[in-house]
Amino acid sequence: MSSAPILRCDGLALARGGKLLAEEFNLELVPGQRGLVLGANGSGKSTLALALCGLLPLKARVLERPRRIGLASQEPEFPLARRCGEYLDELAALAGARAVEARAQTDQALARFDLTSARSRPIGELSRGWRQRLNLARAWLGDPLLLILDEPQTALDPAGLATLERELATRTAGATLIVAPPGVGCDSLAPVVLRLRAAGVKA
Amino acid sequence: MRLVLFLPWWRAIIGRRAWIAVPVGALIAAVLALDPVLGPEDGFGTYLAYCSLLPLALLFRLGGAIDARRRDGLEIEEALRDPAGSLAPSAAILAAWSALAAGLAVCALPPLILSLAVEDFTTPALHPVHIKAQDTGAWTFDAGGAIPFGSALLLTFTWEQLPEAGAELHDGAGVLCPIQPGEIVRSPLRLEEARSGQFTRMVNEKARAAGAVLVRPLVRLEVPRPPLTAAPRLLGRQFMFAAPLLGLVLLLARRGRAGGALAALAAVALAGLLAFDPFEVPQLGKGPADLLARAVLALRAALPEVRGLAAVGRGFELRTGTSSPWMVTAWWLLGTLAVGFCFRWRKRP
Repeated sequence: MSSAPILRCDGLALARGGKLLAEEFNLELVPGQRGLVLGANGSGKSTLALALCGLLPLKARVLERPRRIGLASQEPEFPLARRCGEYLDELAALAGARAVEARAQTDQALARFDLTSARSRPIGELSRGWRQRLNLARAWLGDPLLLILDEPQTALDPAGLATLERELATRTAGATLIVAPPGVGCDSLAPVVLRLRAAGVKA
Repeated sequence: MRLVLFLPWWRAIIGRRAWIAVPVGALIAAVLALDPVLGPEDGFGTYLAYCSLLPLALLFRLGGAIDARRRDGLEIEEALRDPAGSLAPSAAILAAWSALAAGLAVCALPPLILSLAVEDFTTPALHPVHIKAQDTGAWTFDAGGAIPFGSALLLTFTWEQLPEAGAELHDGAGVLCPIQPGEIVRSPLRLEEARSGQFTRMVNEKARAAGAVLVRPLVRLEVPRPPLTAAPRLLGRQFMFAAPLLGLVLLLARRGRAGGALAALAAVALAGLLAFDPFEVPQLGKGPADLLARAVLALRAALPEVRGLAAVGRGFELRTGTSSPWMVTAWWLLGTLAVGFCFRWRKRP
């Protein structure tokens, strides 16, 4: 296994709406590594997650990140009228997969989170917990090198949480960064690499 | 293009009701415009005007589809999975163009079917033409833009005394038409005259000596009227006109972050600017309204002349097909650039 970092940010600063959320800090994840960013509400966890994905501007002296990143956002949005399977097929194709390959990736992602039976169900028919599973399956789709999970335990039942723990434990090729507030069930998912506070950052 | 990327866009743009609405709409339009009893005289242009609602509707459908995908979080997924940012815009524009082509193909069917049952229009249309300048025995006409090749100028003369034999009409290039008293003189337009829309006619010395006077209210342009069987070609021109506008909607809504409806409205405004004859402003001052008019005129002058693609309605035959291939190419180049600017191009490190 290569030890070259999958994610590396040196001198990273985080701001939102002109307000500095985190002073310069460093963050590095290597293959197989899991990291947990803890922070209270409003400390900039989700902002950090989106910025690391390239969806928000990010200031860093050195920035290395893979081309493809899987994101399980805190408030996932879905096209509710579409079927789970065809939706994930499209996402796999967006990453360059051919039809057969896309279907295989979708099947694998759905199977990981026990969603195989929901393949042909419209997303709008899924419960909140099942949508969270779909959110995770979407992040895992195509096995991206870097996974960023924003409060992944949200709405999961114990079985879902166990599935999440299992999948995190068996993930060896890529790195995973979890962001969550302390004490919501994510503390045991990964070692803490960063603790965000409203007025700054403490690693 | 992968079908799995294309189909969601296609479904979002077409919608479920279009499978019924477009054929039924085309049928109703055909009855209203082409029916010998219900329809207006020369109803083919009216039918084409009804058909032009389809591209307009598709501009809004595309805008709506972009809005819906943004709402559903698909834009975020596109950014995460397709760093080059080319697959989704390509799928969107291909779906929009194919929906437009399919819809216009359906619209081409009623006139084709009708052309089998009714007598097709064969008589040319007559249009008044502006006399721009007049000299002794010479007149310069202005058709307000290019007109179809094959058109002819119809002139009627009165005489102070009956001319001797040999009274002729010149077109400035040596081509002569004999003038017979009491008859309308038909002078076909040369290709360059049709392209420029401006042409001069003069009578020779014999006619001038006889006191030939042009009857100005009776000056007409004779323009060939496209038959019903030309529907696929004419609707194809609508496609050529509207397809770059779909690219503009894509650019404004995806790259410019405008709402889909606003982007579609901007495209409709641009279409209006391109489709209508340029208005003449005699003198502009320096007030705010004048500045706005100047800006609109400057924009209109900077855009390709593609009126010939969008000619619909009564008298459409006067302008249809008059856009030069260079202008059409330039118009498509703009549309392609608009789509190209939707690609992100940059790559994440």
